[in-house]
Amino acid sequence: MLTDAKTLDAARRCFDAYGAGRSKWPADKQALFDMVSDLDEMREFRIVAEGLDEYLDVSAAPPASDALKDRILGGFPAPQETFVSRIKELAAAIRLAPAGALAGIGALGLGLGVLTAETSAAVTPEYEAYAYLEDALTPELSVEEEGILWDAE
Amino acid sequence: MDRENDIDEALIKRAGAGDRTAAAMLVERHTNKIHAVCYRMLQRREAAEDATQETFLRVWRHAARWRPKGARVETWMYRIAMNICLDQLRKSKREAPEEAAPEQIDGSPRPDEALLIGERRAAIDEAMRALPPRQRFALTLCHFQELSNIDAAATMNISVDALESLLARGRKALRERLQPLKTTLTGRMSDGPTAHVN
Repeated sequence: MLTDAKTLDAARRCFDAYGAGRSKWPADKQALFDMVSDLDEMREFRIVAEGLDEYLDVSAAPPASDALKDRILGGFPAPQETFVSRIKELAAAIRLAPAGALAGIGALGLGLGVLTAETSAAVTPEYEAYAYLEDALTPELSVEEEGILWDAE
Repeated sequence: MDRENDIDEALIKRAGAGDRTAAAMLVERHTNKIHAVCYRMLQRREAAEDATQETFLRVWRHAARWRPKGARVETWMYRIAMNICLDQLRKSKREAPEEAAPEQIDGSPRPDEALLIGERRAAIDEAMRALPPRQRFALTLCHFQELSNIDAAATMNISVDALESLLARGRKALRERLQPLKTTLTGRMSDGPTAHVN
């Protein structure tokens, strides 16, 4: 199989940079690996790269400890310390203001209603007397006046 | 498209809004990887832990303002870690220049079979420590963390060609330092499979 010099040079560059493991080569160069890795011209480059890969592959970094993970998470700012979250809270408060006012008015109305209901329900002797006198003191409407009110309705 | 990155983006957004659970998930997903990079760059466990913690502190600080702009979350985190490690290496070089000088590997002939795994690890660690930081970082990202060449180049803010040059020079330097330990590392090194790399 004939492979041109440019292709061989590209393959040598990959062996030099990425080693002899196919998976270590860039995805778009893996077809090149398949094409050249068994060629005699590439044998020595491949062996040299494999030799170093063997060494690199036994090298291991220790895993991160749980204590380190705890320390890292300990550095995560509490929500109230997060500037952006404070801004968002403020924005949310502004957005909710009309709803809050409406709810407040509703509560006030409910309160007044309850008070009023209690007043009506708790009929005191004074109230009964006033009601009696009010009826007595209110002048009776004349027939004409009633008629005017009726028409007005 | 990139499900892992989609998850990371969602977690970053939530963490930026103060969601501690999202932050814990990010820690679980990325601490080992960031720590491994920091360890390979700094070669000391305590320093690597400090650098990892500092990386996440910066992530928390910027999470609310993070915008993808085509970059992956992981790439962004690796870049933060790289900057911290490079700062740390510069600082330690200023404070204690003698620490930057790598120890020489014992060149006395020993059969490969006699080398224990621990010794091999020590040898490669020493050889890695002797590399210029950018070569070390390129090798760490591509070989150990298995980032694609595009992601590794993006992390380092360089072109893919420049990344390949760093990788080739780094591997050549490692082979030269490890040469006394393994004859198969020598190969045609002297006459140059990497001769095209400056």
